[in-house]
Amino acid sequence: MELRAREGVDRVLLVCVGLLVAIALLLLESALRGVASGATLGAHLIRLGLALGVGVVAYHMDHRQLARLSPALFLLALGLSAIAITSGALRAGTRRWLEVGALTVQPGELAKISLVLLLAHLIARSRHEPMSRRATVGWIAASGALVLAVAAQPDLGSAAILFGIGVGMVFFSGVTISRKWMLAAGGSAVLALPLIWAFGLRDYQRTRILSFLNPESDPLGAGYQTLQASIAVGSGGLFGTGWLQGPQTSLQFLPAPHTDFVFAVLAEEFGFLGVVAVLALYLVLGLRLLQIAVEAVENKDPTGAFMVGGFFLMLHLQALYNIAMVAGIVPIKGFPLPFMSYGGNSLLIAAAAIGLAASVRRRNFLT
Amino acid sequence: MIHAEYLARIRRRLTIARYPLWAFVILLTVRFWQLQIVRGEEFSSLARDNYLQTERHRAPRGLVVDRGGQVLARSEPSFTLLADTAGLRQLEDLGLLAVEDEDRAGLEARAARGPAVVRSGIPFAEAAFFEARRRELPGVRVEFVPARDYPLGQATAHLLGYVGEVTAAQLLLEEFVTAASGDLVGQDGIERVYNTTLVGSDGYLDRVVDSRQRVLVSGGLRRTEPVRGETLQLNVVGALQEAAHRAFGDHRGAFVALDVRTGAVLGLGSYPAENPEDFRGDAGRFREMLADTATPLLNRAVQGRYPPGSAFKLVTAAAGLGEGVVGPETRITCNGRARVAGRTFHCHRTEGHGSLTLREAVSKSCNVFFYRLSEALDVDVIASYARAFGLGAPTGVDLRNESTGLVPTREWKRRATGERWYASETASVAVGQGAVSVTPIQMARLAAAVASGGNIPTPRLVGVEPGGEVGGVMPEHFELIRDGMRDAVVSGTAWRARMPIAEVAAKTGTAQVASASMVAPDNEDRPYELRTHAWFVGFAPFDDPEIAIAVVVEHGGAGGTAAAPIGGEILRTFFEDSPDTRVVGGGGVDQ
Repeated sequence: MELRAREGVDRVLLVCVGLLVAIALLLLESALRGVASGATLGAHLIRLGLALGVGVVAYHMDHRQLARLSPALFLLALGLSAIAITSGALRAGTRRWLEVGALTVQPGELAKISLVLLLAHLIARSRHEPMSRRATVGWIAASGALVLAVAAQPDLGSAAILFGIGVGMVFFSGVTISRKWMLAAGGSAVLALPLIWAFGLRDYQRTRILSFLNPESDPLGAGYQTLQASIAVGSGGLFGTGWLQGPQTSLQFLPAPHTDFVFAVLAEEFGFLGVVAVLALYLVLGLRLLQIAVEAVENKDPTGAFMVGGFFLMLHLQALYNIAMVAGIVPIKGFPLPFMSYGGNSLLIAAAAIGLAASVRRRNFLT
Repeated sequence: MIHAEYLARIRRRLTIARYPLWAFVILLTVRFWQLQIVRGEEFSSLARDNYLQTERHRAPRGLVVDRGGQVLARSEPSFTLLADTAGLRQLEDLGLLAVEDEDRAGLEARAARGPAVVRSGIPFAEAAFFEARRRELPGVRVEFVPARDYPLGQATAHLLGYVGEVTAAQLLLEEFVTAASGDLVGQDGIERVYNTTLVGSDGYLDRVVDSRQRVLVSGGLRRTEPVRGETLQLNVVGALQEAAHRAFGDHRGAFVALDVRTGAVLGLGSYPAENPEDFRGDAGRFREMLADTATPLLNRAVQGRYPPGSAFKLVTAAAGLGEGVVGPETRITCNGRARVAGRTFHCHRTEGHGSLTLREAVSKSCNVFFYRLSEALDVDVIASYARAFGLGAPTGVDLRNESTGLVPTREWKRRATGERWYASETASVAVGQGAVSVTPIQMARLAAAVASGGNIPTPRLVGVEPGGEVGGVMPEHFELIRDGMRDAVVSGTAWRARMPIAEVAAKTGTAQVASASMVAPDNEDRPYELRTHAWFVGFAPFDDPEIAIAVVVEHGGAGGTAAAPIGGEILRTFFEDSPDTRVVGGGGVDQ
């Protein structure tokens, strides 16, 4: 116990997340000056406090016990997603949010962490053999149901992240897939693309993808956000315009500067140097999470390994996609940037993930 | 017990996951380098385009004044309604976009490039209405654009031209290199030729706006004041323009008056004429004018091509004298008709003029005399004299799209028709018929050349350009022709141009537009478009010529009855007008 107390919380995780959150406060202060939606820095600070609480609780949890509870948590997320589809608050034509009193719950966020926990639990349970046939069917069915439920809201972005988490965790599970099956899966995906384009997407989604491919085609329409984000990023230059000095942010040309495009605020006001610094923080954070997972494997804790590997996927798929979207290399999707965007749900889930990862690491030193 | 090999595989796969993470972070770093460092300047300028809104204060165009300083064109305060693509939609939603369908496409195309003029010269109340709704209608704005005013209206219409919004095609031209979309530029006449002198430079006021076009900062930024364009002084005499406009009345035609000594254009008019103020910003009216068979937009003075008729006898006379075919005393008998190369030609006086000298033939405009002359002159010789007098070539006047006219030669006919030249055609050319065509300004220059004894001036509306010499004609030959022209006014065909104030010398012309055998003998009985063109080509005072003039009245009948009174009226105005407007020398540009 003495040793454990000295070891304490993982410093790398703490420093990375702490810096990201602190930088985010600067960015949000700048972004929120022009936003008229009632969002305030005070509200964000309260959420940070809540998130800290969630992180501390998660840190003191036994992740193996939590894993055993994961099927229940998963069913809750599935249920909430189903409720969101039928009776969620309608915002911008989609039902992604549930309003509970003053709180807004986003089932898509809960779905992500519960999928990670469930898959970690199932994969670890089948540890004696690479993968049982029954477990395989179970994963595919569960993941598929959740992906479909989230996609139906429609929240294609979160659905894609869930899909990515599923694929990534199957990869981590060590399962070997024959070349024949890989070809079959790849082939059917290619064949499915035109069908998804024709039947699976709504008009606004098609417009977004087309305008992404050619943003100048309609500068005031669908390409506006991409173009304005690129202007904000590009005009930042090497050193940036300076804090609170970015015209794209302060004069509200940049869309959603406090949520989806908070990274563009960074790029504008702190320039390429700021971008590199934050990218480095995400890189170090990701490497650390993977390292913790590897240590968990060495500690014969596959549950912890899969869980932390899944958190890495959850946080970094979103972060890298969000940043790539700001950089204009992928179509716009309504993703928050983990640790940095304004908004409680994403923050709480990220805090829980980091708390659990720190918990796994701490236990790696116990035998 | 966990299988060790299985754990090793999981470990390996978790380890491999670092590589895509590194790859994505590096990819993003490269992308941000490209956006922020490589293309940083480009995006910074796009950012400035977002938040820096420049309000343009249009510079008034420079004044155009006549030789005596009378204002011919000025810029009056006026409001113009402009809209971009979004603004057009907003106006349409409000039912305020009163634009005809056929103008719609053009307007939308211009609006797509930037704010385009929807209506100009809108009343103050309308301007105030839009100004008060600036926030609701961010794509619409009212600009204080000085509008062009022409105090003499129709009397100076073709001379001055008009201004209009620069077109997309014009923006590519060298002459409009400084113009921007939405600018008003000279479209014709003096306004076009001297556009760069007249435009001045616009003033600018920068403002910082947010994404909803709310103005946040409007002081302390770039501010330049508009500078009025330079004042342009023309050689013309305003009173002459007005007198000519009155004298022409409803007739179609043109006149050009030149300073015999310098070539300075003292007056230039074309009729019918429309006051540019009446079609300013009215595309429908402009289309009507383009379609009008009376071609009110054609500047007949420099673009109109007419057969010169008997006015061309001045050239034939010079050729006859110059080639030694006739002398001052040579007499030729006119008995009303002449048979040349197997064809019978008639004189306008059926009973004949009897025996005449060249001087008498000019004053009485005897056709037979010149038919006889043509028998001894080759058409190419006549053509060489015509060219020496400046026919068949642009005069070099500072107006656009000048016609060259046509001086027929054997070579020309062979090329144009593939046929050889017939001697009978030379007879037609000798009296200014057949294929010969001239512009009024060419004939005015010809009159100046005769008046000055061989100096062929370069007509200029602004300033003075050196002219040339008519080669091959002796001073005494010019004297003889001038005497004939004086006689024409004293007792001949041009007597209606007589006046007490100055001695006028002139030659009239009655140019057939159809073969005489195919139309009614009496001009009045013919359909309008087959009636003869009336010419008056002359100069004054006889002893010391100052002004040379050419008048053509389209389908006006006989030169002596239709054109000579108008020419006389213009000349009388010139000499009765205050002497200071007759100062020799060109006008010019001053600030």
